[in-house]
Amino acid sequence: MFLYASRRIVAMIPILLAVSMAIFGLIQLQPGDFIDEMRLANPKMTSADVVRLRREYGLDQPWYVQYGKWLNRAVRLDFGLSRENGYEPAANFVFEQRLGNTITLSATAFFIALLIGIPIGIYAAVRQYSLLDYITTFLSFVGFSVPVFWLGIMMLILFGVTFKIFPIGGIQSEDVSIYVESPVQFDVTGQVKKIASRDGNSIITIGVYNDASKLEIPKEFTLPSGIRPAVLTGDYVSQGQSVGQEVTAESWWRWLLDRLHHLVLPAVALSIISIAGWTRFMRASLLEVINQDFVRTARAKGLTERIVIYKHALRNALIPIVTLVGLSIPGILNGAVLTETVFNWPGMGTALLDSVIKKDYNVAMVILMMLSIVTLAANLLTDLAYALVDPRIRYN
Amino acid sequence: MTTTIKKDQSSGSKTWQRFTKHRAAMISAVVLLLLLLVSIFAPIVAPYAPDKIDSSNLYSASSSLHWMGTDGLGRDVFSRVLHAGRVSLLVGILVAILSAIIGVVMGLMAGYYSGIPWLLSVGSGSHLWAERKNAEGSSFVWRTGVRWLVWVGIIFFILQITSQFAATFVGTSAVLAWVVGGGLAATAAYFAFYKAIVIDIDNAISRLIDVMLSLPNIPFLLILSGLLANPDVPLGDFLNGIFGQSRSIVLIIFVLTLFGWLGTARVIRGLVLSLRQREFTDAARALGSSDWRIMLAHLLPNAIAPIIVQVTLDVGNNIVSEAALSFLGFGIQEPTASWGNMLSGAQEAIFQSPFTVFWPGLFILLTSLSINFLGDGLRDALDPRSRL
Repeated sequence: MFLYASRRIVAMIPILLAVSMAIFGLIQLQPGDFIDEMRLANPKMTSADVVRLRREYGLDQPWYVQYGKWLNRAVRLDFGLSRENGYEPAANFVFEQRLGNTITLSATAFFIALLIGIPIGIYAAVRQYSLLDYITTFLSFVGFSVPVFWLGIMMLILFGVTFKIFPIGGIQSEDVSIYVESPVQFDVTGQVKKIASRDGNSIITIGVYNDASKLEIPKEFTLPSGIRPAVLTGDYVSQGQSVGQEVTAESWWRWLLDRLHHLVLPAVALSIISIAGWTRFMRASLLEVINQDFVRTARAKGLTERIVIYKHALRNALIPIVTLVGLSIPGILNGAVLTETVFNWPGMGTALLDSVIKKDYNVAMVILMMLSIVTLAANLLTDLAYALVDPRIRYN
Repeated sequence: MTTTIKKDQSSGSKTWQRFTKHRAAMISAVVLLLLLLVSIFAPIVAPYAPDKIDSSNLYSASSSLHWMGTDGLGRDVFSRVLHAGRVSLLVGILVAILSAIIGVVMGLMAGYYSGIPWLLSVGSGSHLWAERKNAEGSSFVWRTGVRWLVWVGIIFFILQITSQFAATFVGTSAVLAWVVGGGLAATAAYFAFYKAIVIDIDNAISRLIDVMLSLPNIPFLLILSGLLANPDVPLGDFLNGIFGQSRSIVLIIFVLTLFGWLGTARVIRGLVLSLRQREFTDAARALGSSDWRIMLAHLLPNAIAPIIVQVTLDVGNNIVSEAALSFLGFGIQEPTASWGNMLSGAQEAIFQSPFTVFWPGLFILLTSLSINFLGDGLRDALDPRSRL
């Protein structure tokens, strides 16, 4: 098993190389580059400047040479800067600012889908050909067919615009922050000279002007732990001003509730298609097991229907579901691109779309590479998990 | 005592009977037919021209004049929905057919040649040299020549890339580039001209399908459709020259087909793997049929039922994918209407006139739902054993 896993991991490397080369080539062949954008923004640029910049950024070389250079930096985890996001490293931007939001949204949608889809699927299989079975079959067909972005817009219109129950997109309200002003206040007036940090506490040094000596006397304020300074070096503070911001239980709650409030619509929209899928798969899988001999045996020896279904049939029926859970993880991003766009959710989907539109390709490259790795890893983990739940499968 | 004797039925009428029993599929077929008809006859049915702008009548509610209201430019939504239907259905159906063709070819090759290695090049140091010489007879000389010529090209390309690399570096990096590139070229030359290079076509195609299927396709479709809009790319230029304004339709067909053939190929491959073991395949081979004749005349007809089901379901998926790309602004471009791009300005419209956004989506849902039910019914009718 370990050998199998390590072999698979080694086999991933050429696949990743091929995928990254294909993505990079596709991106490099896109119309225009960021020099064009710079030229649009700055009319004083001459053609000579354009040629020189192209040469300096290596944009005049063929794509495979640029790919080699990119790969050379990428293996050292340097994915370039993101021009549209304050020249922050593209990888930092994606992982620190966007990945978490997408995981929050996708994971919520995923669990909603599992929690609703699996029980309905079980119920539909146990009561095959009942009215409820027909209804769920019909609804799951609707769920498969509905375009997720349209569903999202309809939900926005209904719950956001008409009933005003939920916010119209975004990840949190502008006026709700996890931080509140700390009740601790400055007791002097003066200019902030220095902000330092020691043992987890921030120390603000303020130059207090002394009328008698006509001199500025530095005075240190050590902020209680957990409070971060809200002033910058050079700012003037006055007596009675709060020294900083802190997170209190109350502010944290308000922030969390606000976040959840914003999460509801996109998560539900994203989960609809998966609910339909899980219902169908669970139903099919359970029906197949229910007709097998060992279930008949279990019934024949007088077990209650409850035990037959939940102990004997369901366990076996869940095996294929494990595969599907693993394989569906990368696909979630498909829905996420659309859902995030509709709900203006600052996740990887919107980051990808923006980076393609604004030709800020370093970000797209990071996201697509991460996706490829996640996809391959999910495939591998699925295979291994499959071996764990099904003792008949052996890898060697 | 009377016994009723059932007449023997042809398999076609049995299939038809099974299909008509699937009520949802029957209703769906009628709905689809209606949708197709109103789309085909859109210029006659639609009360307005789809791109007629009426600046005095933006975002009007539905009325007897404009059944579905008007959009942000004052265009009649009903007329646009009908005309958009032509584009969306055309894209959906064409992509499904093209993907089916590619998928069938790939699936047949993967299934039929599974386990039979394909020779890409052979040299005198390989044990395959004598074997091939024997098997290919008089054509061996020119076949080997062609194979070697291709590899000369590939090796030359590797060296060219290496020199370009080395030119951009200085010192040790340049040397390193030459070592890596030269080593690669030497290895390729050794195997191509002295040993042999063989691949298992099934392995190659199956891996390709696996990777492409598991990658989320929308990000890749986004980048692809951006790429083909590039006038510097020969294909983009070519499309521009031929199709002009409506080239975005051709573009999206091309892009969706690239990812569309995977499902069909996989289904066909699985079927062919088992069909090629059957006696009729052996019989055909014994009679001297060529590989392609066996595949197309003997294996393909036996796999037609799942292909029909797959193509039907693909039409629905394609329509939704097209709508998604157009919604994001990467698909069909204005002023040509498609159900997807009618939704692309939706976020601004939701306050003014929610129904502008409602109708195109409803048509997508209706089409895709009908197609899914139709596919389900066809599966029941054509291939009763594979019931999910």
